[in-house]
Amino acid sequence: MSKRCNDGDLLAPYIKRSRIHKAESSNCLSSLSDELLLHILSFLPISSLLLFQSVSRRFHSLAGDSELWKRKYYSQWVRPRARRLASSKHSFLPLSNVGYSPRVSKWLGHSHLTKEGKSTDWQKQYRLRYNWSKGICRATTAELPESLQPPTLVKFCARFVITVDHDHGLRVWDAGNPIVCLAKTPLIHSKARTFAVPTSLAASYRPSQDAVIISVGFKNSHFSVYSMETETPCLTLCFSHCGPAVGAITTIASSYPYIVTLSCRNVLSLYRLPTVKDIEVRGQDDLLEEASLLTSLQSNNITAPMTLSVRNAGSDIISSIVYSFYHMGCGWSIGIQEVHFNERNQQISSRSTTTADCQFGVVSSRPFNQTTTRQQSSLNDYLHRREPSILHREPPTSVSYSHPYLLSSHTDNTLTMHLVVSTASSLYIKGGQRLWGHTSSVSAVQVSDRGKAVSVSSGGGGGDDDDDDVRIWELENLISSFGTQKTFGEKGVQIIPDSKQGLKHEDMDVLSGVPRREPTKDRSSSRNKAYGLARKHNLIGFNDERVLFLRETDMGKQLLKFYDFT
Amino acid sequence: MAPSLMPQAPHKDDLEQTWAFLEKGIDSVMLKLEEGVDMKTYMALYTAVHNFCTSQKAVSNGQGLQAHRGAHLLGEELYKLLGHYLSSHLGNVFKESQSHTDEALLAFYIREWVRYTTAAKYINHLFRYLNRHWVKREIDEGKKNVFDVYTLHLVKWKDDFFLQVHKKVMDAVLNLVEKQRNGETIEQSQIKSIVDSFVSLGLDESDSTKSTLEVYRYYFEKPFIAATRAYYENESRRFVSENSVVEYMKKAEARLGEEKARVGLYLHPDISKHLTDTCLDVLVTNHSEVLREEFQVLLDNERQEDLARMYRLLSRIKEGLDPLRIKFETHVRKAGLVAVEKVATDDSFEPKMYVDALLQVHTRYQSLVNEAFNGESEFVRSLDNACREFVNRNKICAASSTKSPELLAKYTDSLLKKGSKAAEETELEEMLVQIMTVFKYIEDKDVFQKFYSKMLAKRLVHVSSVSDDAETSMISKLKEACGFEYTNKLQRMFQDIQISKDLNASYKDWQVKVLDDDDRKKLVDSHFQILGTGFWPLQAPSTDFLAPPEIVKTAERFQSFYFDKHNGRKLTWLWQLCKGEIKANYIKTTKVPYTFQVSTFQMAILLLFNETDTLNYEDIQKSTSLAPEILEPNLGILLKAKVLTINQEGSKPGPGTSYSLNYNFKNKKIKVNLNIQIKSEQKVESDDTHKTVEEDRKLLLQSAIVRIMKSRKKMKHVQLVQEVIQQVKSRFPPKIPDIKKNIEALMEKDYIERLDGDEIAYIA
Amino acid sequence: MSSSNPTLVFMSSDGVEITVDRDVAERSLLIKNMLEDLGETGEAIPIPNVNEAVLKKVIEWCAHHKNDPASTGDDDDSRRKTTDIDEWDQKFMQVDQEMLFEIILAANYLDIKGLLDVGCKTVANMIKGKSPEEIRKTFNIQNDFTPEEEDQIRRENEWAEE
Repeated sequence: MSKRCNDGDLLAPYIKRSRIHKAESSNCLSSLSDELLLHILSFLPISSLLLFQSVSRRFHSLAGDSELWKRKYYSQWVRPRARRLASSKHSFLPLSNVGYSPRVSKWLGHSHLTKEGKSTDWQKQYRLRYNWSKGICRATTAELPESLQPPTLVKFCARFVITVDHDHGLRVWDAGNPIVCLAKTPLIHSKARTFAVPTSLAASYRPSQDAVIISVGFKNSHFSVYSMETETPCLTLCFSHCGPAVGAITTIASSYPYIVTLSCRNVLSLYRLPTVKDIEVRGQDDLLEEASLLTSLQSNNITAPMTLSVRNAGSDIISSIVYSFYHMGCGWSIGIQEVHFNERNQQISSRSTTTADCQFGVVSSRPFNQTTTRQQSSLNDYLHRREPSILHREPPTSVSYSHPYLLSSHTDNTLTMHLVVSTASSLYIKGGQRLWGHTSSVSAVQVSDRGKAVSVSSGGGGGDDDDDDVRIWELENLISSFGTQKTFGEKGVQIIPDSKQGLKHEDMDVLSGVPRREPTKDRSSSRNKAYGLARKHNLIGFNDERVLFLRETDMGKQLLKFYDFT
Repeated sequence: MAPSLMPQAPHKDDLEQTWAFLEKGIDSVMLKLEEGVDMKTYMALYTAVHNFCTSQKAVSNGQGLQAHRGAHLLGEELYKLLGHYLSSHLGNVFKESQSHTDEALLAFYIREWVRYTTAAKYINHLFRYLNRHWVKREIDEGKKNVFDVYTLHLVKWKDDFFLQVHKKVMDAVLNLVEKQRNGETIEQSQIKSIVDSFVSLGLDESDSTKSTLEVYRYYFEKPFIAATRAYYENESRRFVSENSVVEYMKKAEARLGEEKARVGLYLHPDISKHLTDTCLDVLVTNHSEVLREEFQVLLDNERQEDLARMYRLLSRIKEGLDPLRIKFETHVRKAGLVAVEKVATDDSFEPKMYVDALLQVHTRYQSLVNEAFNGESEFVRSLDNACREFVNRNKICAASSTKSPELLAKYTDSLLKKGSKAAEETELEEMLVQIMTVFKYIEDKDVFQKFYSKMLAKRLVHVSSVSDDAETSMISKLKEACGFEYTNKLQRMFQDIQISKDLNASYKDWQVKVLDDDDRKKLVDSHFQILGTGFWPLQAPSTDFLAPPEIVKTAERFQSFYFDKHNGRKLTWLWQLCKGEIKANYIKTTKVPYTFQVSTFQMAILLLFNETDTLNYEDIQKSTSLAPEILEPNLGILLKAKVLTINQEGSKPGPGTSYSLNYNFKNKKIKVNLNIQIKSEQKVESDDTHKTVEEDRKLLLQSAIVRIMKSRKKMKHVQLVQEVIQQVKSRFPPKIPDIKKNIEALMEKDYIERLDGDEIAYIA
Repeated sequence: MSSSNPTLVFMSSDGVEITVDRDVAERSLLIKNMLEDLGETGEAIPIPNVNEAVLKKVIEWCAHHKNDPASTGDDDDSRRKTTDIDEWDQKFMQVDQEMLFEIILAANYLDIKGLLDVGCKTVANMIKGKSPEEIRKTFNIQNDFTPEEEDQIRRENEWAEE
């Protein structure tokens, strides 16, 4: 702390007092100590606080005070939810618990916002949350460098964009500033010493080590695992695996130290990687083919889209695959298979369930249908009244599963949300809720572990703006209103990039080291021509601050599109 | 009063001046509080803290907008200096403490603790402005190791003093407690103060507004428990070697009580469970072997009070009673077997003796379970197990396990038959309750049912029940124990008798209407009982019989009345159960003629002598059509009673003999009962009963199998067997080969069929 | 001194003695704690930071609010939502700015939570709905931003609609 004002004033205290008193009377507000000013500011609404920041340097700093905004954040975003949970029927929280506590750890589900020893900028958090709730963001695009041997795979994890392709290998970019390549490594297979063709990519954040774990699956059915600490981005190959030839690995997922892969021949394999300790003991060279295969499953009647996940549930590991299939009764449905392991890597159970029952229950309750009504909750009766059925005639365009949320997107402009219930004794799917809001075929949906989902449909309305319709869904709100009238008011929040608000639209430079600037003379009218008709969208992912899309133009170029909510 | 001068206030921006001023004030609060703090000093100290924290220093925020975000509150320096002050104060306290030990140390600790915490309360108030703002904000921001000023005092006490002296303090505490355990008087309040101090030092690291017992548990409870353990290990080892087990149990019980009281006197309630567990472990668990060995001795000598004490002690440790229960069960079973053996030494024992022997053993040990073992359900179960064993498997049952139910049924019969000794109704009821006690243990309940219904039938037919109330009471008890189905037939029998009474009444009315005078003259006074075929354990007579014409006429008249009422029913006359009275007018020796109570068979024989005085065997047989094995014993009875005389002196009834009416018949009574059951009949009856039991069991098994299969449709063989056992075990313990045999039998009859893989299916 | 209504004497910073009912005085946590610690000595209680005029004003407020329920703790959030001030308090706070701030300082010093809240709400109401320039004018604050900084802040804070 800087030294206190000590100007060596030798005047007697009384004289000084009176002098200060005079100064105070001319400027009373500024003379108050910080704690009093904070107390006054605590009575101001957000808008006044922001204006007050423009008054002077000192007030700018005070009105941005983190504790002040923490309280505002709580009132705006946390308390309403706590209230709702406390007053809901199956409440496990007393209503008295909704009072403000300065301890973030006591706010339901917000502990990720604080870290030991680090202070959180609550004004920034508030604004981020506000922008998400309103769909306000800044859109930027960047072009992916072309690879001679497509495809280029992209993932978004923590604050990093990870790309992998045959030519350039694995590269990591800063999502906030996608010009900067933070780290790169060639895809040399350590044993074969040849370049490998990547066919799948997964990335997951490991909070315990503050590191990102990146897994790459290859055409030759091998896979490699890299790790990168977020503080000092540097890619380290921790592991490379040459498994049996099961075909190209089309999907991969990981939750350290577990990796689950799916090959083009529908072979699902779950591996456990050697732990860091093992690695230290044996040295890097011996690590090849050391991953122990825990289980392997094969199926013929499952179809894309599929998605894999591995998660820890207490001491157990649960690996699951979500897939689509055609059901005679209710059309395209989703199935999920779970394999449980305990900490000693012994398989406990393998079980599966489908959404067919949820859908079927709806179908069967049609008055003219003679099928016996199964034991279904009034929820389905209710859904039936609003909705003839959940009957998908076309396969879903994408599925996303982050326990317990299971979402699928459809060509009929809707999303379907299910809840997966996985207990020690049973696995079943409940719910079956259509989400309305999109006005054209929904091409992709993705759900995060904190119950937020983002979905995208191609710009349906025509017009010369081909911007996608992107919507944000707070799934928890939807669940709490399961089976109530409120549900159908929910259409998700449409993302409004600031470009539509007439603000400056920045086109970012390409990701590659050699920038390829798009023609920029007349953005709004030339965009369609320049990019071609972007019709293929790929939702890469999102984090607390951004959503990332990959768009392919008909000229074969791949564009990365960021929606930045900060 | 002369206004004292306001102490010189420090310059609010000057840390050194402010602190020098505050330190002086704190010193007087900390060290000379007994001299009092004057109000002006108090206000000046508060004001100095306030002024320092609110001095709005022109902090420059640097040039950039991001340089310093948020408010900056003042007070950190004061907080740190206060902390240093406390550390140095406590350093002095520690130095001083080193010259004390034992009780003097406790006194010192308590004195200093009281002084320090009192001062802490003052200082907390004086520094309230710091608490309200700077401290609160630090805590809100999630900073660790910042506490409100009072808590800071406690933290410092713990870190800078407590951690250095806790061992010595605890040694002193434990010495005191040991003295008390040895019987000395101590100053308990000292220990209580120490406990309170230790408890106060427990602070929740993550939330200083909460307290935990961690410090107390670690620094007080742990050594206290360890010392307790050592003390009692020592004491109990010595005591056991020098005294009897019974004495030791008294000692242990007393010690457990003392320690429980100790918690209330001066310890924290948190220690209660831990302390009790430790004492139990040392005083009971460690010596449980010795205690259990004594159990048999106590049982043998029926030391109920000591048994109760042992129960109380061992019931408080884990699995402490299990071995006792096993021993108890064995003991009761042996006692039961011995009692039965005593009865069995005499071949002609009465059923009553047997049942009494069983009951006596049960009663004795049931009262022991209630008195000494607190009626605990596990002991009750052991008692039940033992009783079930000796009731069903003892010396008397050695030949046949169905002996017990048979004897019990016979004993019941003896109670319910007219002429039993238990005349008092309440007494009888009590005995029936006792019968149910034994009945509960009987495994072959169906055998009991068989015998019981036979004897009930007899009592009803012969109108020899002691009372209807007693009969219904017994039936309702059986119903309660075994269900409706078990007593269904018994109840129906009872009903038949009631219905028959009404029927006879209406028969009488009918007769008045129908009969002419002539008929009325020849009328035989008659009473009829209509017994439903399915409900009564009775068979049609085993012999042909030509009833005497008087009876035939009466019977035919009744039949025509009955068929009039119930068209299409079939009546079978159970002659062997019928009886009547005839007057011996031919004997002139008395004014009032003798009346013979006779069975229908005897009546048929005697009525033949109305025509002639002498008849030979062949004539009698021809006229009555009775089979020789019935005719001969009945003739025997008539001969023995000297109603008839045999003409071939010394012969037994049989072909070639002839009989004459004895006109010189004499008897003390006017009414002579000749209707005596024939010995051989009794035996045959009992054998028959056993045979029907086997037959019924087969039916019961088959109906159970069919019932199960009908509801399940398909079932594995093993499962079916299990299910059958479940269903019938309340009646009798089925044997698995029997079940299998019956399953086979049902397959042959095409009720069920065998599928692949050990499965059985029901054929609809 | 009536026994049913005990009184205390305050001595203001400018040396004036003021008699106060004890229950009124105990609205101040400072006074309440002090009496708890020292007991009543009968001497005048020096209030070194508050002059006669302000002290009288504060006592007036406390007397009016002496029967208010004790504050329910610091985290009463509904309190912050509204800057509603009851009528009497509004009237009470109709004083010049200098006095307003003196009252706030005194309430803060004497630890009178209710009065401090009312004072701070009054100031908050004076800030609400004003532009930065108007705020500067009202409270005589100097703008020490560079024009660039001012522009940057305006842009940063444009997001809120409310």
